[in-house]
Amino acid sequence: MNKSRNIAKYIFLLALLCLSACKNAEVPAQFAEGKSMPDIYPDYAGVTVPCNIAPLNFAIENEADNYVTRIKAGDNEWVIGEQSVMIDEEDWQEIKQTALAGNGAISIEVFTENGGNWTRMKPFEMFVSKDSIDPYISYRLIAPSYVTYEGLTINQRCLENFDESVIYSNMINSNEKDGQCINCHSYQNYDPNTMQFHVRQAHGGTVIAHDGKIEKLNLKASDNMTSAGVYPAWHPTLPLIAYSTNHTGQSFHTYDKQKIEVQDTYSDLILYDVEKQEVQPLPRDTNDLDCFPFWSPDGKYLYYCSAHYEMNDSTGRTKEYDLILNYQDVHYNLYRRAFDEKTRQFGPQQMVYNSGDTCSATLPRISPDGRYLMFTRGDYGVFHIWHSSSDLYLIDLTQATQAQAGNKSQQAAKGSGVAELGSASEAPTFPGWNGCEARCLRELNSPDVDSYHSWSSNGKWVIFSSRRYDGNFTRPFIAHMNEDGTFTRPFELPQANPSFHQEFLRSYNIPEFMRGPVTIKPQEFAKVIFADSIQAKLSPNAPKEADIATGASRLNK
Amino acid sequence: MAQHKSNKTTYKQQVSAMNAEKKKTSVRGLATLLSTTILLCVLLVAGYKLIDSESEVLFKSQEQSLWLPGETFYRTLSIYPGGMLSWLGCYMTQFFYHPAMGVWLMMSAWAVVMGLSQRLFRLRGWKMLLVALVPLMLLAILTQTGYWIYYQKQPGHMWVPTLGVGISLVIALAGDCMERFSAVSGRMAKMLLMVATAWFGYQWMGAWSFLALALMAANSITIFFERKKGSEENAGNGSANEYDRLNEKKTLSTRSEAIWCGATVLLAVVLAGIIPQIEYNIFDQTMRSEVYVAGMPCFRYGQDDCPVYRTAYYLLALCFVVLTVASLIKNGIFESKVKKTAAAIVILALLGGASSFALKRWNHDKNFHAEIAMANAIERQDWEGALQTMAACANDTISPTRVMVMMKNLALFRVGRVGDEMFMYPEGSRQQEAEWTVRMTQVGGKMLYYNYGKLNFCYRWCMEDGVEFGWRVEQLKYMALCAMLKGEDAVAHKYFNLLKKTRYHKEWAEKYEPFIGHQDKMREDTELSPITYLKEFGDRLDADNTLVELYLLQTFANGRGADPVYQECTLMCSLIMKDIDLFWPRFAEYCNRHAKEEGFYVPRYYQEAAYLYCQLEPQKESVMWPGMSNAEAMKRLPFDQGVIDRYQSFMQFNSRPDIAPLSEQEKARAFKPLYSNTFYYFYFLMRNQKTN
Repeated sequence: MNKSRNIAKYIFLLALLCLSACKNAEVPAQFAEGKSMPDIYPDYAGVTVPCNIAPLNFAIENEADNYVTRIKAGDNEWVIGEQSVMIDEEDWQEIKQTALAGNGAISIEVFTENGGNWTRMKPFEMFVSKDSIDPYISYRLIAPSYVTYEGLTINQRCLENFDESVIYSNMINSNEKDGQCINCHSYQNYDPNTMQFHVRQAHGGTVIAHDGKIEKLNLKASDNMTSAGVYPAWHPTLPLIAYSTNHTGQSFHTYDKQKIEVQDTYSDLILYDVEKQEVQPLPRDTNDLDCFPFWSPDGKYLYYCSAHYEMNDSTGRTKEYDLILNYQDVHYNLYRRAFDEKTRQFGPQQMVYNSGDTCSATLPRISPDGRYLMFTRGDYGVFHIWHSSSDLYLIDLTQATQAQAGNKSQQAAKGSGVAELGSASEAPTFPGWNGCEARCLRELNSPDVDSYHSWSSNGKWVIFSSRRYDGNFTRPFIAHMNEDGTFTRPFELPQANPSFHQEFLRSYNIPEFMRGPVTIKPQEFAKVIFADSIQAKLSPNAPKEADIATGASRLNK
Repeated sequence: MAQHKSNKTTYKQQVSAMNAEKKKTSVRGLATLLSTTILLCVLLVAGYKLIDSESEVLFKSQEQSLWLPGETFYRTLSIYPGGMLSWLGCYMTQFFYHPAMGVWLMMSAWAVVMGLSQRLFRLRGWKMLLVALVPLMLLAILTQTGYWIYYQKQPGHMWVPTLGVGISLVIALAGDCMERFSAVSGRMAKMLLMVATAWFGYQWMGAWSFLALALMAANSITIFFERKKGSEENAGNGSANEYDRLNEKKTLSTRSEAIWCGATVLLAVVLAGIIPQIEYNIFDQTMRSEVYVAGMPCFRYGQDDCPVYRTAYYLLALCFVVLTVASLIKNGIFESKVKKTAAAIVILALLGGASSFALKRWNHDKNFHAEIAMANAIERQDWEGALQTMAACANDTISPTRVMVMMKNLALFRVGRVGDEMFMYPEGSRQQEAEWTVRMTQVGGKMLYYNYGKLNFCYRWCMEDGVEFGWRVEQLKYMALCAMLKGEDAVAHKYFNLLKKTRYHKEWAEKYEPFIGHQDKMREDTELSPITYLKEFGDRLDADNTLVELYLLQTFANGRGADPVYQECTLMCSLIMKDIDLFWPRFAEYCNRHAKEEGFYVPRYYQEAAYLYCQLEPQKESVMWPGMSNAEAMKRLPFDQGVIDRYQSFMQFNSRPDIAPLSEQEKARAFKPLYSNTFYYFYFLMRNQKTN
């Protein structure tokens, strides 16, 4: 009898549990008004999101017995009774559409219950923009390690939902004996199937997918080149990729929070013709460290950063060691060279932004409409993802153009319309750069690292890497650009599980927008990578070998 | 009447046969009972031995593992075939936090494995003892681990083989039930189970799913012969076999049975061959050439392949072949050829062989065990415990590894007796017993860096190893502590929060987390304050080139710090480096700094070094009293008489006619019993110590 009573009791309890699980959350009828906004992660308060973004799930971090969140858009509301506010994708579509029908605002109210008393925290808002965002991004997932690289993946993520897949993983071609590193994925004009990335060490080479083909190449066409191609930039329309070639080393900070310093001892630029499989080194000065090329959207200019570093030979040190001792004295400026699409020749170096030996400017990225130049500025060096001082800056190039007229007369007076390539300080300046200020993007920056950035194809959004949450793990943040060139508050890449990034022990590296997914399977890449590389040739247009090595070649056009 | 007699005789014969059968059954029952008892005893002995000699190693194994609740952690494992098994393995490994509990769980699992094996292969009587072969191989796999505890990349590797075997047996038993349930539909269901096992099993268990397939195929063969025998018996007495009669099952012809059996075996082979190739397209992070070993541990590190560790796995597979054969013998396949005595001998030989193999593969390396015991003691802040372990090694003839020596010096430094006792323990530089080059960066290096305040280097190697070998509790703990001590509060919280999600390290995290943001409290804490005194405040770019000991010795010996703790560390390191020029200024500073302290004395080994260096360079200008020679300074230094006596005795011993002509190595052996506890011995006769 007792046994059957117990069974009945359990069934009743189970039913009660089921009922409570099915119960819809309700906004408490009575509550006190809280004085502060809820602590939520990710912090989405006040952010503006694209109309096609995935749900902005978040977790409430305030301690409480129960939680209720009311999401309001227009006259509609949705209520969720969990600490982790995970919004159903269909509901989210409705929320966004309702918000867009109005002023775009979504209001969020969080109610917390402690000891039977409900409190309404101060509400906050998100805004939905009519501007859409490219549906996909890709990034490399890498632990912020230094020399080890197991389990590296280049992933793609649909921004409209939470689908994520691997474009290529180093483990598909790695074993204990032969490991490989992968890096530097890049796309031509946001086209996911015209892309490239590098594989280092075992089965190394540069993988280039274009016109439905996949090739693996050895871009070190000459022993005199510093290295094979490293940091890439696809020409927006032509089958060309500009690369920097780098001799890179790293050393370790004994106490600093920044932990490592990555430095180039030598770095130059090359141009690779994808169809002819030819490498054309750009003229160089061996004391110049050229890096991070990027094309203007019309393909007429190649932007890059460069530092001039002359070591004191009397010390008898190697350049590597000298740079390690003086790592804080290496400052990069921004330059550009005109590019003649017909002759495939570059013009002289023009200074775009002079860091003035007080800071270091890297990663120039031009907006798709050609109006803005965004770059990363840190105190020194080139590898700003490890520099907590690094921040994003913006130059309005139209202001520079307006100022150009004023400067033209000065340049004519100097007779330096075309100048000899020289050191940073000697180089001619980009017309009008003096006339426009680089603006620190305070609305985007944080006290910690804010670095690698990419423009969306419509130029309305930027995605950038930031270590603002913990100083160690890089997370992608997205921000909307307003008409006046300012940005709205950035928001962290949304995740299905809002706490995902708090547990995730890898960094997002090189976030890049794409118009769609890469459709080539990892196994297809693996097959090509496993095979031998195609050896790229040196272009007949290349400066003579001796000139490349010594930097004696100087363009005088 | 004759008919009646004949009936009576037949009846008698039947009774006699029944009695004989009863007797046989009762003997077999007794044998089964005794076998079960023996098997349980074997488990008890294995469990006792594991707890008795491997507790420290098992405790370390859970520190070198990690299990977190939630999807994020599972996802990191499930990207590879066999991810679920690794996930379960990591979960079970946690229980080694209490080694006895972990061992108890392991022994229970092995008991289940034996039970399942017995059930699947239907072994009774003394043959049942053969099921012990499987746990014996699992024991060998567990206890051969050694330094793979640091280097093994398969998450949950301590438990994965047991779980892989256990789950495979469960699946095979399910197939057995299906096949026995009905001749046709049951077999079809079993084939479906095989397909499902291959498809999902490969995803969840990796190559262990092949074991399940192999067991199912073997089981089909066994059932085929069982039924064949039954059919032959039926043909003899005109009745259905026992099983089918009891279950009123439809029976097939022997030919049909053979076709089904062949089809099952063929299916297993085809599935094992094809499914990994198909699933290569699903798992985009597994190398094509490794699809057949996915989910198995990798015994290769860098260029070093260690095939000897795979032997136990091959033998484990062989055990199931033996069990299958035993099962077939039971069914009369080889009955006429195998006699009971021979069978008993074979069973005993197999068990004896497996036991001796398990014992042979058991890692008995004393240095390995001492290293782990010392590391565990240091992590518990039990400095005396670490020293006791090191002292116990003095009785062994083999010399200690460098990491043991380093841990001993650290422990002495932390208890403030380094100058008095540094050379009272065994010295040496024996390379770790492993088939690959074991490096201090993986074994003990992180702990040494942390305790010597080299927080960025500790953090760095935790990060490197997290990437290379997978995230582990030990790394998260050190990363949390380093971040906390350096004031990187946000990331410290991240690691503490992860540790708070673990089953057994929540308490640890809750103990340290309140220190975040309170450098003053860290300075007051007995455990943390020495690190705050040793940690670097200036920053520079540097590299250790993976040589922890050399880096620590060089940076400290060349360092100059105002803090007394730091200063003594510089003195200790200059002494170990035998660098006279570095020693003197640090010795002078040490004496001047502490001279006014009540009860001050210069520890023995600092005195011995100073006395020796005065003797070696008598004419050189004294650092302590500039303008005076070392010979003159020596007179002013109040050396203990013991220091002087030992030096003189050492030199006299060296000049003995039987000793003087000896080579350095021979002298080292001759001096050791008398002088190994002196700095003089260390200086002259402990040379070419290779660090790793």
